Amino acid sequence: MDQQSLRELEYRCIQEQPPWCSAACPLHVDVRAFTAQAAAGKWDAARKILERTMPFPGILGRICDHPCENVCKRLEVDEAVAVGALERCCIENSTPQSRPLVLPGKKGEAAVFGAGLAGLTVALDLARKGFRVSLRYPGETFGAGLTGLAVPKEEFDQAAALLKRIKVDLREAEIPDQAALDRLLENGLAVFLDLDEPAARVLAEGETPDAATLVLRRSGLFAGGGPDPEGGYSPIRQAADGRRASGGMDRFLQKVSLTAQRETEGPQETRLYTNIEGVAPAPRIIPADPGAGLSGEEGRAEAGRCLRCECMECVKACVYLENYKGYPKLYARQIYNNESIVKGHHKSNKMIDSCALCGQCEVVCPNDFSMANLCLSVRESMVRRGKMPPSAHDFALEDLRFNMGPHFALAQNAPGAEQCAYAFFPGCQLAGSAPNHVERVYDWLREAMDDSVGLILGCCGAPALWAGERELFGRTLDALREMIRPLGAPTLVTACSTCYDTLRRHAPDVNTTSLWEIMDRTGATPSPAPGRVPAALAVHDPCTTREHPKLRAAARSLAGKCGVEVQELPYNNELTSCCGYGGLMSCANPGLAREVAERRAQQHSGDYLAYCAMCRDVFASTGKRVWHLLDLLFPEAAGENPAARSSTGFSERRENRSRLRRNMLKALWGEEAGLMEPHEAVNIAMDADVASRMEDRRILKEDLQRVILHAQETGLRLQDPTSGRYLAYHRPVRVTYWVEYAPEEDGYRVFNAYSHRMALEGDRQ
Amino acid sequence: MHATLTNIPPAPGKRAALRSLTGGPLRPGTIELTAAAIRRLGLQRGAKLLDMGCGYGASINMLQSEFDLNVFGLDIDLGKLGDLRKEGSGLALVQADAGRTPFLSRSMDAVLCECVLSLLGCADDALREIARVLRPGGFLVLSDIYVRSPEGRGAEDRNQPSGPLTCCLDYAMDRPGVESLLSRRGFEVLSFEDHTQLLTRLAAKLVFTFGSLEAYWETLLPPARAAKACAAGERLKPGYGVFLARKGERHGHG
Amino acid sequence: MSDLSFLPETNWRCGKCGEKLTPRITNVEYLGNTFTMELLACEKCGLVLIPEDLARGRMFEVEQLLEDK
Repeated sequence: MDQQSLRELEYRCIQEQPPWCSAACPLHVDVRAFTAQAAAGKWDAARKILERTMPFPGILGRICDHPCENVCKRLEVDEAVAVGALERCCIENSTPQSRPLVLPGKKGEAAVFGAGLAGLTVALDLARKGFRVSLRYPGETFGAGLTGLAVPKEEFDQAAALLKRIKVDLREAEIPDQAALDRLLENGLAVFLDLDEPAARVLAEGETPDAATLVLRRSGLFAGGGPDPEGGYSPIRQAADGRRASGGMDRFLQKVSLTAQRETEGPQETRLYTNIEGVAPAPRIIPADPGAGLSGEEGRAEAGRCLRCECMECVKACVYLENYKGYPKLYARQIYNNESIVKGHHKSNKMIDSCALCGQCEVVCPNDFSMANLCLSVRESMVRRGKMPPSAHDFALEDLRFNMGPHFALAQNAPGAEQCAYAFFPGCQLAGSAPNHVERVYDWLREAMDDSVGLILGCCGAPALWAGERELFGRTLDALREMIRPLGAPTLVTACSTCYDTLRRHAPDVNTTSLWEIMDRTGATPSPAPGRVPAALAVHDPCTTREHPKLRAAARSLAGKCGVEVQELPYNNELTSCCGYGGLMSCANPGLAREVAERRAQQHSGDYLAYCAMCRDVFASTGKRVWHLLDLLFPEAAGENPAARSSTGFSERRENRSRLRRNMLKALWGEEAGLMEPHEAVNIAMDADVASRMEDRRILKEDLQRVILHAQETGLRLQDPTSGRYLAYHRPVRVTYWVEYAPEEDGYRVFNAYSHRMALEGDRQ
Repeated sequence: MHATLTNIPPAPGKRAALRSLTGGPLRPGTIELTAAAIRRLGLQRGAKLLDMGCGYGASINMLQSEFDLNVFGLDIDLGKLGDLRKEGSGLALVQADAGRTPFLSRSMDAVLCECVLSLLGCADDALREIARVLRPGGFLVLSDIYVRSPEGRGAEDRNQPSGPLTCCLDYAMDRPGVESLLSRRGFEVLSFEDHTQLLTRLAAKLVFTFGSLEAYWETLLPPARAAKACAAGERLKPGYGVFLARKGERHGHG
Repeated sequence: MSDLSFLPETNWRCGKCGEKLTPRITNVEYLGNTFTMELLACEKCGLVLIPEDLARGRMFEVEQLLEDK
């Protein structure tokens, strides 16, 4: 990832865009933070927020004409939050919080004529920046046109005291004439004319200052404030004029560009998106005493109406995005840093490897930000540069190798046929989780289809794709193509939407369709016995159906034909959430994957309907009752309860797969599978708690068998003379496994096992 | 990988354990690394070299025996110097602050400064001093922790060193920061070698010894600061490297 | 160089020759980093003991550390 693509990515995520109110405010008051404090009744803290951006909050806070209210997001629901009234309420319920900081003295001097809000703001800003400032106004005109408004006189006294405290030379004096003004400018002073002051207006000679810089006529002379060009009168605009002029005068005195990088001053557009779905209308709080304005309590309630506008659409939907406590713009920056330093960083690596790559964020994002594309491309780059932690995906990639190896991979024409038009491709997870379904579906397909239907057992390569292993992925697809070709390029009938999606995207040369569409189309759905299917199920769409509406429709239609009322989950169809297996999340970050699964399982109290074997097993592992679509279509004998079937463990999956291959080869084609490997004959038993520990530690039964076989053959093992147990280790490839076991009648009992990746010197093979 | 060092002596029992971890002082670099850097300077026998922050003197012994240099050792820690004196090598040892040494201007042919700057709040003072004592054209070998991810430095990492509890992440700079300080003090950077792998290995050894980096830090710092040091390590991504620099012919104090 | 030493009290003996395990200097390697440590081993047969708490504790932590390249 380079700087350019980082910026493009960051631009897409709009979470940091200002809310409409702050964007429209000429001073960019942080209204969202202000109302948050106000809603908590923390008026002093709320005032502190006003003080950050607002000059003289005691004055301006009382009379602000709140342009923010014209653009408040609540207008789309009911009425704008009464920000103006809240500011007043805040000022009346709080005391000044911070003394203004004054920077060390700077060279340069400014003269301000007229003490309206604009002139006062210029004096305040420049004095705080460390310039020498004088402020002159004709007698009794301090505060200019504001004194008639709802501002107590003490506020003006306090404002004058503040200016004096920060060393503004504040004096009542006549406004000078043109010649005196010219002398000041010739001496290099920056001069500001507050157009609220009639005598200063005379000096301006009816001209209007430049809108961007407020420069009037000549270098060093600035003007602003006074009535609006349209004739109105806006205190906040006057203060903003003062702020803009003081910025220009600062630049003038420091002899830098008056115009560079000032685009963010004044009212702005914002690109923020805020979802107002589900916001309940709540009308404005009407003060009990309209003359007195909002009371403290009323103010709290009114501030509570603020929506605190932000986007967070993807974070609201995704447990993974929520987990890292930020939002995509921050994540993109972290990932970029992770990539750009020569050496990686484990924390970000884990974040990159934990994304389910499900693409939900891209669909919910108003700007199509895709965390999946980002994480996948970075995973690929990590793999290319040899920076991928080996432990992240090893287990899943080993599984892929197994599934494309002699124990599972198989390509057969229909029994007795030379070529086939279709080939059933159940995928690795259905075969691992419910091998009986594979057999029954294959029988049904051969019966229901007019053309001959072959069988292909193998892997679509998705684990390699998800792991960022482009090269292994390509090799896997090529191997699959090699398996398909001799069958006469049949159309693959997939039972797994991940296979379907992966092949559609990455192997368009392979004709692919889905079992659900075929079943729905042929209409030859077996009709399950009534009373054995539930009345209603909440359907969970696999994340790999996101771009395949036909698949989702076919699944719903089939469930309907079985007499099931299909209920919808929040985030369904193209918005669906991943179960936690996608993108190998459960491999790289099992704890987070479990949380993802649990949260999804809790979104509906009823039983779920899944049509991906992995989704089914993941939900089952959280204790959720879940049906696979094939449980409805091919019901078990009475007494079986498919919804309560537990998740299938890793070892069992492998055994299921090789048994399925062996059984089908024998039953349908009369062939014997290849010889078993020696370790398969090692008979082992263990208690349930040991088995579940092995599952957590990703240690397979065959790993245990290999260690024991090796130890028994070589005699190399430790022994505890008191218990008689053995402890043996063996390193087949990249992991050393340790097994504590004891022989028993017809095999071995395993008591414990653990593993490490570090290799002992001269490790025994 | 965030092993870092502190300037405070650990509890007496731990000190020995830490020293033996690295076969000498607790720092990522090896004595071979120091020797390789010195070899590249091509110093004459008897050339004068100041080991600034010599600690327990691991480098000094090697410099004398392998290169036959006239070595001066300086450390702020009287205790370490004491240990070294007891060994009775008759070395020229000085207890002084790196910013104010008692050596004559332009008196040294080379200065060795291993894992010292990152422990000082005032690296620039030390560099100015080094520039002063080096002869024009003299060499500086500077090995230290450096920050690979400066954007990870937050306000919480700054200004916190208090009293003796300094860890080298408090003041570690990024590579451009070190280079600009060097050039400001009139040094020409001849080379930079990255040896972060050594730091990783040290971190791994600390984990083997203490169970985790946090546990290591807790042997040196109060728990709250130990956790902070760990977090800083994760954010700043410390690396380790060796700079070779030469004092300009005209620059520096005379 | 090393005083990395993992010599727990243990009942394990060599199952091949029945000898008690004794300390032995052993190298372990991961991702190009070799560490020397003292482990219990059978002097005769060469069998080494890496106890569970070492494998799943410190060793695992170091593996994670070294994977962060």
